[in-house]
Amino acid sequence: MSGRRPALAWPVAVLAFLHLIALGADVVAPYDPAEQTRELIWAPPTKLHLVDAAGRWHLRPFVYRWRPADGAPGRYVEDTSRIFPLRLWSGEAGTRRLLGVEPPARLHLLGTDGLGRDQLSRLVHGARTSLFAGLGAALLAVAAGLLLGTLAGYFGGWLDDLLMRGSELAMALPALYLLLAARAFLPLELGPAAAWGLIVVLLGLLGWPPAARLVRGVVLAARRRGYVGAARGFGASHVYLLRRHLLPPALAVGLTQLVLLVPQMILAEVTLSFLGLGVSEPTPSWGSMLVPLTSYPVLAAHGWAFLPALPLVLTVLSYHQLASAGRQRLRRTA
Amino acid sequence: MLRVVGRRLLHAAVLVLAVSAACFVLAELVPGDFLAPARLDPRASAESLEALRARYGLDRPLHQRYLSWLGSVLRGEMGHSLAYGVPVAPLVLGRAGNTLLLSVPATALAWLLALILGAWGARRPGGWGDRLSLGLGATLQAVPELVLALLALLVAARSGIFPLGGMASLSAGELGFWGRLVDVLRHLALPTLVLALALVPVLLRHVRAALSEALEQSFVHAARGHGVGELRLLLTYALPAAAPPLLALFGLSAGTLLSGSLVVEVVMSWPGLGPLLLDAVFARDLHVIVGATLLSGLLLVAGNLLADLLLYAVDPRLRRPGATP
Amino acid sequence: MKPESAAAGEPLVRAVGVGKSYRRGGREVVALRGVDLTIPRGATVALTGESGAGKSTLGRLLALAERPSSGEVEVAGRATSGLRAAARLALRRRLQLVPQDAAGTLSPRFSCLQAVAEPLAIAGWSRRRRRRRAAELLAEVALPAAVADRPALAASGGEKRRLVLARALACEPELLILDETFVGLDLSVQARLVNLLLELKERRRLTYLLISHDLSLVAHLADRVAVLAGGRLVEDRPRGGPQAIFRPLPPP
Repeated sequence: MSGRRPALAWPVAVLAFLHLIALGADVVAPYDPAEQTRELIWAPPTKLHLVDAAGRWHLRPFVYRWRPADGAPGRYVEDTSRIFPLRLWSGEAGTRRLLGVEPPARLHLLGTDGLGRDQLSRLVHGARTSLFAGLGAALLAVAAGLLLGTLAGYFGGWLDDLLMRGSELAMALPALYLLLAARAFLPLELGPAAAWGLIVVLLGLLGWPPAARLVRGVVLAARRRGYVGAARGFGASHVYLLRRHLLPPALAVGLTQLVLLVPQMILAEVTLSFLGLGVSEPTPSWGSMLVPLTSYPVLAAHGWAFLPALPLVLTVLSYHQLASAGRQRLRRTA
Repeated sequence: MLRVVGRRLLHAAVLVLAVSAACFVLAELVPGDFLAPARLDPRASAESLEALRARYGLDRPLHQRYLSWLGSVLRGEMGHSLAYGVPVAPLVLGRAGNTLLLSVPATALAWLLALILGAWGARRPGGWGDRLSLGLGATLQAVPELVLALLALLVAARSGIFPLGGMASLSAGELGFWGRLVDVLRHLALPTLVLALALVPVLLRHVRAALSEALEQSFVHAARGHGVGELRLLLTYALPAAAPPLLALFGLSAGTLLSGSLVVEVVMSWPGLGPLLLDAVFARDLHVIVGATLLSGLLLVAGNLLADLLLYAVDPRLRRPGATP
Repeated sequence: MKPESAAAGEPLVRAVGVGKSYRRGGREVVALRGVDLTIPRGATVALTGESGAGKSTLGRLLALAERPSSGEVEVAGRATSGLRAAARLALRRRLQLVPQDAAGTLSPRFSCLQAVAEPLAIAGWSRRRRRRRAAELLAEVALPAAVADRPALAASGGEKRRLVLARALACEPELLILDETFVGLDLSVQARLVNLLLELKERRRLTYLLISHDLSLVAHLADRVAVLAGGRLVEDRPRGGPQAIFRPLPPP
């Protein structure tokens, strides 16, 4: 490829930012993600103002309340009779939030959804569901791939045959069909936590074959190296050889696989939740937040319903950049 | 040649047996079946449930059910759908036909785009054309097909030019042959485009790499020295040299294509294998789950076989006696 | 480790009717057939022959790195074919093979000191004892202390040979099997390595099996010469002056 090396700083910064937000969702999100406001169904994003209706400037940004437009059901206009300044770290002790406004005004920076829930809050909590599901599933898949690939590559024989044929079989189906078929045999109605755990385990268990095959190849090649045979001559045990000589190169491969696998796993969770087979309501996931977009009225009138797709694209982009930057750097050091 | 075909067929047979056996065993291990919703219905008596179980054959032991399913595969039925009340094979084959109707043009379009953009980039690596096509690829790669499909729906909803999903208009029955053809094509346009765009980034990367490597070969340099034009150089010299790795990629990308197709089909209500499988999962319609999954696997095998055959046709080295691909 | 009572001259390692065959690409390749060879304690036995004659294979068998297809390898008068894996592994430390490809046996992730200390780590030595002993070993093969923390693979060809030699010595071996140890080295480097080997043999009362096709070296070092051709031992006699060695080899 071209000589310039891909940037590493911005993907790391973006991913760190997104994960921090996800971790701190309880504080970052302005509202409880399940809290419904029946008067504000599909309300557009709240506008931040510095100049009020009378033309006066304010130092602190403020918002107006949405009120239903007269004679136009489903539409909202700003009630300019009272201003509500933006407050940092507001609320009572114990339930403080990073950003907020005083009730009865509400701060919906990304608008609300069809049940009047705050989209930003759902997005932030959904990040927790989706980002960590992807991370967990990828970690599980790579760990399984490392274990199985190392064993297969080191000991060979029937174990190797079994694992390789098994992984071929798992890869003989299109990934999403395999995922749906496997999901078909698991309970459909589950609590949010159980469903999340189930998805992570399922994705992890289905995701090991490519990692295992790569690791196996690396271990197989490393096992034939002279220094492994030499260490055997010094009386080294299997455990010593695996730990000291075979696991380090396998781990390097595993790490690159991890970075490649995480966005795939995030997408898999998003897709499953979108299809209604993942984490169920009211727990938000980036996937289930996209479901309203399949209905015509939403598409036609509520453009902000598309906002949940943006962090997903940003996440995938950052992971891809991280992967290509990491690959380049590994190749330089190798 | 025959060995290649034979190996793929054997692969397919093993796939059918292994996947179906795994499905039956898993279905046995997990609680809940097709009648689970009926059981929650207070009006359903225990006797009538038993009668239904017997009618659907759900009361027989596992191995009997599996053997009778295998028998029906040999009869060309692939079992019986409880939800649709028909044999699975015609149902699944029809849906697979629709999936092919979507994915074959999408593949063609994706390869066309990838070849054009890849050739543009490979001609002058590092030039603005190259950087533009690389940037386009990287951006597209970060947009999942799910989001692409939803964006296409948005375009359809806001512009009104294209139908909002589905495969035919409600009034399609009243149209003549040509009218119906145009109607299907109009429905096909957006899903095909989405699926093709989802596939382009992966193809583009490999096409560019293969073509720029081929353009560096000494026989291409020699041909350029003889005054062969740029386009002819690309089409008749570099492309054949780059073909083998690209054909291998064609086989490998078949799985990505089918997975992507599933998402596009569900979002854009295209009646392919994907929505069929999804509905069957919700209904616990075991034979349809098995049938749709198997067919996706068989389509993948067919894609790989096609890649093998094309490779054989393109690469003269493979036709030598005793050569093994 | 070394039994002090063992008298020089009695057999340390003995091959009895040893044969070895490999499967390569579905075909059976015979590397050795019916080889009898005795390596007396304290001797320097040279094993020579054309390339492909089976020298390295015999070396690996005598180091217990591989098992013979037929016949028996005895160590100190005891058969090894019936040994359990752990006992065999322990025995291998006493019979160290210094292989032809020294660089290939050095891990790219190890420093020189780590490489030399590896046998000690495997034997369960503590980190501090390991470092001290490895430094002594480096000094014993006349490597400067400055190389200790450099990557093992960054060393020069001659240094690498000394490094693998020091590493083999860390096992406190009785027999060193030196497989083409001098190939590819400058004459001056070769000479210093030869002197080092002679010195080590004196100090540590080592036994050498010297695998080489360099007849002048063999003449200089060995007190017994064995010749392999086509997997058979065609000659095995005490060094009888240069003329005996420079005789043309019998056709394979």
